[in-house]
Amino acid sequence: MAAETGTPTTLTLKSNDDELFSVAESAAILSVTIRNMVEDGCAGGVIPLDNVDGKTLASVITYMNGISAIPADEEKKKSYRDKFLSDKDFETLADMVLAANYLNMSCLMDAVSAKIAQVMEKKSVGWVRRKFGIENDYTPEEEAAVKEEHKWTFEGVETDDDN
Amino acid sequence: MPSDICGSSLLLALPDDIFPVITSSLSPRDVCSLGISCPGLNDVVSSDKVWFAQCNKLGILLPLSTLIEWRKGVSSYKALCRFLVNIHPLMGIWVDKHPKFGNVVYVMPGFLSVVGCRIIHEKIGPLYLEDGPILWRPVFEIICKYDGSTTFFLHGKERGAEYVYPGFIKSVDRNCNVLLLEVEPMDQRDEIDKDVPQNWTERPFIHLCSDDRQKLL
Repeated sequence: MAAETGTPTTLTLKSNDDELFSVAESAAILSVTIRNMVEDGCAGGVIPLDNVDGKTLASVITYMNGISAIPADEEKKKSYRDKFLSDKDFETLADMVLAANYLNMSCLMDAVSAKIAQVMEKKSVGWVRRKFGIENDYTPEEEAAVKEEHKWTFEGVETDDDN
Repeated sequence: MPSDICGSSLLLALPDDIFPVITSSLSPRDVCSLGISCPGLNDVVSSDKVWFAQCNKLGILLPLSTLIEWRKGVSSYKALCRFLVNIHPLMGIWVDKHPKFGNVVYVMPGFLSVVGCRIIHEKIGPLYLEDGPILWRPVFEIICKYDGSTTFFLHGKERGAEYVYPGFIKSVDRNCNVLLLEVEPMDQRDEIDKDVPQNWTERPFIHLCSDDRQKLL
């Protein structure tokens, strides 16, 4: 393979909206899904990624290239991941977590999940509803019952947001 | 910030197996805030997978196999998590506020319960552990009910026979560092109950605190 012949192999990835991307095999195989395809010999032509759109795939490839350029230094990789995710909005994060799950990239999956969790951390029910545009379709009785059922989690904890 | 609003469909579109990963870095409270916000999300975050991750994160003292065993006795991992959250601050070693009494109580996992055991230090000889095994006596046990709520039992002895007496937990503060056992005489009850205080009259209140653990042990 690439390392043995000395010429870096480039793979072509195709998003579900038919955008084509070239990426070094060494970076692309961070995705276990892609690595399996390469190992099975399916990488000769174009690798179709049916569950990822072009915008998200471009982002994932930026991440693949960025992280694979960093030598084995967990600290530096972590700070790259933090920086990479710092300017992503929630919608992008949601797309990325789906892509990371589909591509089976555990490092990206964990980082994006943690970032999403960070958004939700220590927030009140009211905040969650506002942030995610959730319409409260509980009846007052149902809502009271759900609150009662979860009362035990609300003892002795403060939220960032009052309501 | 209306422009920042993203639909709940975005969250609901996430596959089942992603929620446990995301919520594993959240507290039980955060998970419940999601559930209380709407029925759709409540379904997603009520899954056993989500709560297994929560239990796993909390139950630092319990191996995974124990969690799986304990799950058989409760309605869900959410119920189990409720129990673990409640008893978590109690786990470990507690020592008497007055070191001269030398009382040490060790709170450890039982089966779907935690047991507080007093080390019988009076029986430890001059050679300490080299002399023989530590003698201990159960003081109390907190049992997890099917729905994750708790039942409290005090262990005692009467005329040579072992008894357990029902009691209750007032509250467990997450940052508590004093363990207080209270026994009140209940005159209107039958003979057995009346005898309870006698077991404890020597020290009806036991204060044990975990600060300075290392200094004392």
